[in-house]
Amino acid sequence: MELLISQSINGLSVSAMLFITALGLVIIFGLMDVVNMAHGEFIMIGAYVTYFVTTVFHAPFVVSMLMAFLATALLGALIELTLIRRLYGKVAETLLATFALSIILQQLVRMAFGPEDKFVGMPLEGRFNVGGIVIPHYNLFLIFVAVAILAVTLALFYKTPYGMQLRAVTKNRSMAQCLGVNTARIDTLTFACGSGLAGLAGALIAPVKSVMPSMGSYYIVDGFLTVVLGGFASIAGTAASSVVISESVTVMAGYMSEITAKVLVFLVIIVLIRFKPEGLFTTEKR
Amino acid sequence: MRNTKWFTGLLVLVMAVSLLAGCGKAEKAPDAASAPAAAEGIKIGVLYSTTGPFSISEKPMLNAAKLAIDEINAAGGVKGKKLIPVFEDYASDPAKATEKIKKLILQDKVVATVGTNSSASRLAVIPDVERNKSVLVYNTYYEGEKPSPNVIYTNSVPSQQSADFIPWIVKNLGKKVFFVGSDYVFGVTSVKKAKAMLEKAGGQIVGEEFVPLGHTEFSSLINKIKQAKPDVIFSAVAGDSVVPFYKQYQQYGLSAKDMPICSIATHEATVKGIGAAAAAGHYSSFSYFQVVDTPESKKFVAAYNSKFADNTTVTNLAEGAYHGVYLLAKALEKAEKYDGPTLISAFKGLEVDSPQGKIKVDPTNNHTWLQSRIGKIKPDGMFEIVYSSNALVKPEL
Repeated sequence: MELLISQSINGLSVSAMLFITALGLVIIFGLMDVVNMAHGEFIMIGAYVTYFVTTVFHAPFVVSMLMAFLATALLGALIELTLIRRLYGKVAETLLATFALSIILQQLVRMAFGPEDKFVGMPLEGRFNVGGIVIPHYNLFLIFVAVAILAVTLALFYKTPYGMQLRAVTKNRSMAQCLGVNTARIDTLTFACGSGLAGLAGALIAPVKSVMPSMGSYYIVDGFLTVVLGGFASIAGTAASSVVISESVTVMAGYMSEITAKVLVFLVIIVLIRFKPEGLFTTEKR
Repeated sequence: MRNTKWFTGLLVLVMAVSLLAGCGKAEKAPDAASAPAAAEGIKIGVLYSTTGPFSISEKPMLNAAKLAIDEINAAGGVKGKKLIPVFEDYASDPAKATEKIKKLILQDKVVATVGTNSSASRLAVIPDVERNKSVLVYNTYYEGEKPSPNVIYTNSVPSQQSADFIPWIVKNLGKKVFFVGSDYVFGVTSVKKAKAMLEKAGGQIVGEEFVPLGHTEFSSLINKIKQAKPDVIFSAVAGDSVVPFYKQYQQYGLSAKDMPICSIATHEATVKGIGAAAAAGHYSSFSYFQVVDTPESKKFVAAYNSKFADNTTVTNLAEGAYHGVYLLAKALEKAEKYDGPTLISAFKGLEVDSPQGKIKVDPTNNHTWLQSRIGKIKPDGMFEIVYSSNALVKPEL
């Protein structure tokens, strides 16, 4: 019983991490139809920004979260303006171009800062110990941040003029254009927002994961899986599917090998997608 | 139409950039292109990735190999001839390693090649090395399976890393051991060998778990470890999983004092990534640590650090590549002609004074007798050697 409770609580922080790392992907993939293979590299760049802010310049972790978001958002905007802009509507080509971009970014970081792991310290030491169940403070912080990010993103997309315009562009690009929406600006902002969220994710995972040039590749598969299961354009769906995937893997991993747990869950997802290809929590899309 | 053109232009640009990124190092590699004719020197291939994920281990190995070659040439070379390295980068792609080894052997006509690192890349080049009766000097610790008669293995096999480590653990840290490993050939084989040794040493196996290669989420594993209440964790967790494993181990409140991790894959470079606070108190077993106190080691570390300011760290792997080149030079000195079989037999029984101390190539199985050491990570993140073998440890497959 203790194991079950403890694994379920672990599952929540794993869910939070999965959601944070997948959110940028759902925005870019779901709302803009761009398969962003460089998403993992934005996470990586966010983690490197955190390394420089906290380890090299000894600034507080919160500053690094902000810096990681801004730096990657700026880079995202730049990449949207120079590269992605030319490829809208061509899903396969965005895939190729962003894949190339991911290799370039990875190798640039490797050449500039070396291939080895960088150290990012734990900003929140300490843990609660309730009857043998250990909950690190940082995990609670992650869950809190994930919920906050979810709320802010939903508010941004559903309560602001920008969000309304974005949803209009997503539903019907040419119609939105006819009605005077500056679609180019919306595109740039959205891509920057998605990239920035990836960078923020990099900052948040840096204290508990490895920070190295190839780290991004480990998050992209789980990220896409989450997005597909959650429904392509649904932010709330991504949150829900993060919890479903992580909870089931983590709880099962308490009783069998981690590998078996993952294989079983992935199998179930494949079957689910066969019968519900639009994802579990889809919003209507034309 | 305009878009298509744009895209083509872009694709060309992207390809050009990635080509530059991929080959820049190889093209700039010293001496390779402008080298004098083969008659004036002895060509050896150096096959390490400076691009792609494997470069984390292979960049330091390449550096160390370069350093050894430069030192040997500065001291007069081999039989009065200089070693001429031909550098190739296989971009962390085993399939590309196959292409590159063919190029090195058939086009550059190297007498031997130093390099490859992962088992996948080694196994990818072996068929061509064997077919062309060439020689590969392989300098990474590996699982000790499927050895090739055309390969000289200069780093340890699992039995060497565990032979002293396991009895020492049972004697000094406790009998109850939990085994963890990355789920691939090195991790699985190492755990298998270590378990057998633990039973021989009178220890008790209280658990065994494997995680996927590259796994970064250890909360479940840590829970299982806590349930099993071992004295010690024996870890063959390797690659990119090492740093998150130690970080999360500390995050969940497990301490090196109560339950130290005894690893056969955690070295100086990964300790930097883990951070001294989370790494301190844990143990690793290798034939070489940076802090080994031999004149050769001090010279090697100083020369490496002054020559390469590229954010890489001297580890057991770098030392392996360094002594691998020295062993090759000695074999070239001894061999009368440089065909594969003659060169391989020249290696047998060869001894060199390497940074880890004296080492010796086994006369029968192409592997190397090595030192055995156990290092404990100090609070400042450096290793402190707490055990050294008095005799060389036999490479038992």
